[in-house]
Amino acid sequence: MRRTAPGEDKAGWQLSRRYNWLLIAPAFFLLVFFLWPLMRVVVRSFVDPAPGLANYQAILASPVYLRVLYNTVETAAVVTLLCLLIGYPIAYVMARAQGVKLRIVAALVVIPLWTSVVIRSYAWMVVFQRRGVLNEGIGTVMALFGESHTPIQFLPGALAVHVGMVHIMLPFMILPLVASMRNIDRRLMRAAGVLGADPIQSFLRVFLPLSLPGVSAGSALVFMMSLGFYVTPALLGGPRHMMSAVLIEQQANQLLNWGLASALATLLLLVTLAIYAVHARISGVGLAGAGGRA
Amino acid sequence: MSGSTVPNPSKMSRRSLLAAGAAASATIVAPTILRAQAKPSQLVVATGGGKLDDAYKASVFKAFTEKTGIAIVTTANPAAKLKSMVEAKAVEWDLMQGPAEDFIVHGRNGLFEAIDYGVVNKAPLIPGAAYEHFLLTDIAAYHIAWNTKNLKGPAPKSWADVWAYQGRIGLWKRPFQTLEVALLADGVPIDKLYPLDVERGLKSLDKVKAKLAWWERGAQGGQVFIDGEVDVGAIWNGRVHEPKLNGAPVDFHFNQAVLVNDAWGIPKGAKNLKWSMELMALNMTAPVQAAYSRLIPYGPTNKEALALLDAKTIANLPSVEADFSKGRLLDLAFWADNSSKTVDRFNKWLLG
Repeated sequence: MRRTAPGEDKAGWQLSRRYNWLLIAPAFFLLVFFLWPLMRVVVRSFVDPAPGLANYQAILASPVYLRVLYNTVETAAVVTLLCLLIGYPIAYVMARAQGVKLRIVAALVVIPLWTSVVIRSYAWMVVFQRRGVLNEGIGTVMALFGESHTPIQFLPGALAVHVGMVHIMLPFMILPLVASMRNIDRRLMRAAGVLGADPIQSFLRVFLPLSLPGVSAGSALVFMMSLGFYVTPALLGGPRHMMSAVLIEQQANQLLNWGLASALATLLLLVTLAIYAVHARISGVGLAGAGGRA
Repeated sequence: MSGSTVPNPSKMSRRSLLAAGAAASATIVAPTILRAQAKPSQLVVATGGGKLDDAYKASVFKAFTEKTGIAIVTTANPAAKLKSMVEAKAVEWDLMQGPAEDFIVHGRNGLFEAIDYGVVNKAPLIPGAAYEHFLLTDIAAYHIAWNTKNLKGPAPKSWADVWAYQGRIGLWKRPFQTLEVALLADGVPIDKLYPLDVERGLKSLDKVKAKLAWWERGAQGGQVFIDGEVDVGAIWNGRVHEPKLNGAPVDFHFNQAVLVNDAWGIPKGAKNLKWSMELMALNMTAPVQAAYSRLIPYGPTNKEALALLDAKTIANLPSVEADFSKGRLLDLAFWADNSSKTVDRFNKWLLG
């Protein structure tokens, strides 16, 4: 089911054992600057201010924290689904494109990544506000038909939050999808056609299943990153869109209650790990990372 | 270390220090010891950045460098960094600026050095500006504002008028200051605000919940008034003062304003304590405070500074009345005792 012969594929991606030592430096870096601080956060959630489960009890006993955790997961799930629905066709086109066309589409997908998330969130505020571009545009069109337009209140609202977050996360969905789709042997689709499948059937029964590892990688990436979102929902969303990151920031930076902040962060980490486990099961990747196999 | 190869540390640049250190690597600890006693070449001050930073640079930092020859560099001021530096006993900051309501909590948590009132003269300061671990350095306001294009009818004179307005009301999405304003709108006299009746404040907010449009950050808050995303509400004067001068459709006044303060404190374990205290003392003097108020519309906490300001500047400052007859200072002790549980309660109300 691969474009390359099995032997070739292996040769391309398996590092000879002789070069394993190359991994020592990055492993050391991760250990010191990532795993060790992360461990300290987890440990702190159990020992600060006093050893025990008090921080977790406080979270589980409070409707606020549970509600916000639920909001966080819900928002991340909706954003992931929207990114998938919008990103899949774009990735499909990119995977088939060659030359200039490919470069143009790739540039359009990647260039937004160069602007800061904060600035893009403020930009969406300008678009969605009462006298914003969107409302003014609708007003102009309505005026052509002789109708008056009462500005629609987009802010704060679910629509604005979802549009803002999808705009930021879309490249992280599209790129793994493209990687996975480019590895699909197009001759399989033709073979399906020869054997009597119509285009819809060959897409649903051949292409779509083969692209699932990309779907899984992109979805996991978008979902996990969305869980940690802070500024976009804070600026565009109402109280209903309060995300865990806001609570963690309040506790960590303003109230300096690091035990509780650590416990909240640990719970978010657990959700992330659970999502990764699901992704690993679907696509069969181990610790090697997402998108490597298709 | 041989004196002939190493220049006087007070005149050393960082590079020459490094070079000297490399040359005399066997005695590399010596310069560190010397530096602790001698005059440092620079002090690091953590600030909120932006216009505030510019105002400090052009007033107090400039005066300090002229007086002592010590340069000032500024950096961002997240409280989490203060805590981690103090815990790790590796303090990079010599001084920190931040919201007074946070500083009283940091002081109680042992994150600040005690202020030496032998060095800092507190006699000319307004009552309540001198704390054990920090000083109030200016007076800003969380006040009534409106968009002049959107406003229908007369401008709101009080928070009760703001609450009664048929339109969108913009408030800060935090309990601090917003609860004070909600209680004022509900008719609590300004001199009887504290201790805050949190439940009454939330009930008052309930009455306008459908009209509320929250803002989360100061920059965003200013923008929603300027763009007319909200009609009336509350904002800090630093965010609308300049836009108004430049012709933006915003206006405001300081009646019933909640007065808030920037504070300065010295992180526990700061390496140049003597010089940090000197900088602190200079910042509380009348000429420096007056220079600062000319640059940014925040009032002085040194009473004598007002005499140095012209009427036009004074008119733009939140409160110059000795008794704060128009507004009142945030009660720091109340917030230090209650911020954790009030934030929880407020978040619960927001989500409910």
